[in-house]
Amino acid sequence: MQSATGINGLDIILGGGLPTGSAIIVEGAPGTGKTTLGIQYLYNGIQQYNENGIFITFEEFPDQIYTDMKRFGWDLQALERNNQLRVISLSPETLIQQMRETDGLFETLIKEIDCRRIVIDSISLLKFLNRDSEIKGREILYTLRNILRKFKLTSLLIQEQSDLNAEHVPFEHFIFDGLIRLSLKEHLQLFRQRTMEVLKMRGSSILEGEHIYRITEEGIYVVLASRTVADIQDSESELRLKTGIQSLDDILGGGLDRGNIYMLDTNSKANYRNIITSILAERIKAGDQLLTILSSIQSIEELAALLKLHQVDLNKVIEEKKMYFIEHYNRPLPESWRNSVFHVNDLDNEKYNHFLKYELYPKIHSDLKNEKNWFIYYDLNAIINERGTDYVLRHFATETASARSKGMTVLVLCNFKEVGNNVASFLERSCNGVLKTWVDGSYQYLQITKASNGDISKPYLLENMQDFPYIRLI
Amino acid sequence: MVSKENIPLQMECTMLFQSNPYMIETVEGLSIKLGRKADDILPIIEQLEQQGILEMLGDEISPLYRYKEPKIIQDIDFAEEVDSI
Repeated sequence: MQSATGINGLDIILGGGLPTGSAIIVEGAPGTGKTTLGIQYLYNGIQQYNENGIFITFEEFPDQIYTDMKRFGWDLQALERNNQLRVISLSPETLIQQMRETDGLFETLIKEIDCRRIVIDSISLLKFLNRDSEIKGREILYTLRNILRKFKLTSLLIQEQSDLNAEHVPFEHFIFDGLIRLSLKEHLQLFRQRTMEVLKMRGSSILEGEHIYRITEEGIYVVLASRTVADIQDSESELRLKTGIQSLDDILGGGLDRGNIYMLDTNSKANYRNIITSILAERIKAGDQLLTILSSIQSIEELAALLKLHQVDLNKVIEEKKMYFIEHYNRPLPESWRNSVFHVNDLDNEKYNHFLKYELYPKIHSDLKNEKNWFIYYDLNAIINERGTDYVLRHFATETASARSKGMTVLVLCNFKEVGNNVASFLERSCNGVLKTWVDGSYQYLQITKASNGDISKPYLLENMQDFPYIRLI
Repeated sequence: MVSKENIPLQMECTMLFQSNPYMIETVEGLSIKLGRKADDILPIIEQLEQQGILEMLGDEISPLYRYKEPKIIQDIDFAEEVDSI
């Protein structure tokens, strides 16, 4: 069960809302809008979800809060008159004392308005109740948490920002169910940007990362970091090409989009072969026609061995004329594979381009007429090595545009770091999606840094497994 | 009876509770909120309690006070009377 905040963006970050009955800390520096967030949570609870609430303030005068919140059009006093809200001002000592008392004031207030949500502003002051004893301070917070749980209240506990650089993690971060941090960060040197990050939410799957928020005339408005303006796309499942790696398909929203250009940006240390092989194997199993540009470090034999691990017999695929190769190197080939290989090692750039235009494309074009789907694996590192960056800059956009117009799906392999910023930026622009994989220390990561639906994923750990499909994203 | 010189403080207290009807405070807390001495506030609070404007909660050792909302609230406009004077 979740208690939706009704705040734009925040409920998506929280996977629906705050877990019902949980006690969550909202931490932030002055001016980050903690009080506004708390009141908005209660106001929306009453107006949208029929859940009454109590706001407890230790330092502010309620009449100041009534006035401040009027700028958002929230008439808190009207809600109080309807017995849906209470803005209560009392001291931290009184709160704890009354909470502990059987049939005390706290219990009476909860029952009086059938309270479901509560905000306490701020728990930083509770810690000062027992300045001389850290243990007593902890006891007070434990008591508070237990009482809130007992009444099944979904609570936001506001806290002044703790030192972000401190090695010591505040005790309350452990005992409460969640932590939302609001920050003010320098932006474009002259401005400050407000960001929100959910650092902990027990029992919930959250959208990680820092999300920008603004305090608008309607209150707090969170713009999700992973959402940019999305391209129009068809989300029907048959238009999604499975990669053979379930966890990758999940991140991609079902798989690669048919007819799109994807780039796999990988550094030299990262093991990308299993990812590529899995995608190629899956396309073969789905009955697609494949075209592969071979690199100096991957021959057909090596590819055949890898495909075999992914339960694909390359001999059979070649025999059925389902897969073709562009070969830039003069490497020996078994007789049975020769008809599937286009040797371009003796073609200069002009002749190579001529070959693509007048031999290869017409062949693909005639196959497309027969309603065959084409999948192209394009090792751009090989083209850069053999034909130069200038060739790529001149022809890559045309080639990808042509492929896209024919509904072909293309997977391009490249090392952005190696080609330099300008070329990488040009290549990224020419693609609908970018998957980046890299090695940091002893771990390999994978992240979707560009996707046709505008989503940017968090970095996933890439785990090697003993069994098929040999990799998993965590 | 509240002495004449205490009337402004009584007004301050009443206004504070009226503007913040769900405030629950000790005399010490009120002293901080109003910026007045606790010793000066105590007799006024007791007076307001007797008049039924405030309600005392808790025990006598550590009493808490809160506003007792009147059953009937009526806005009276004196503007015309003031003008005629």
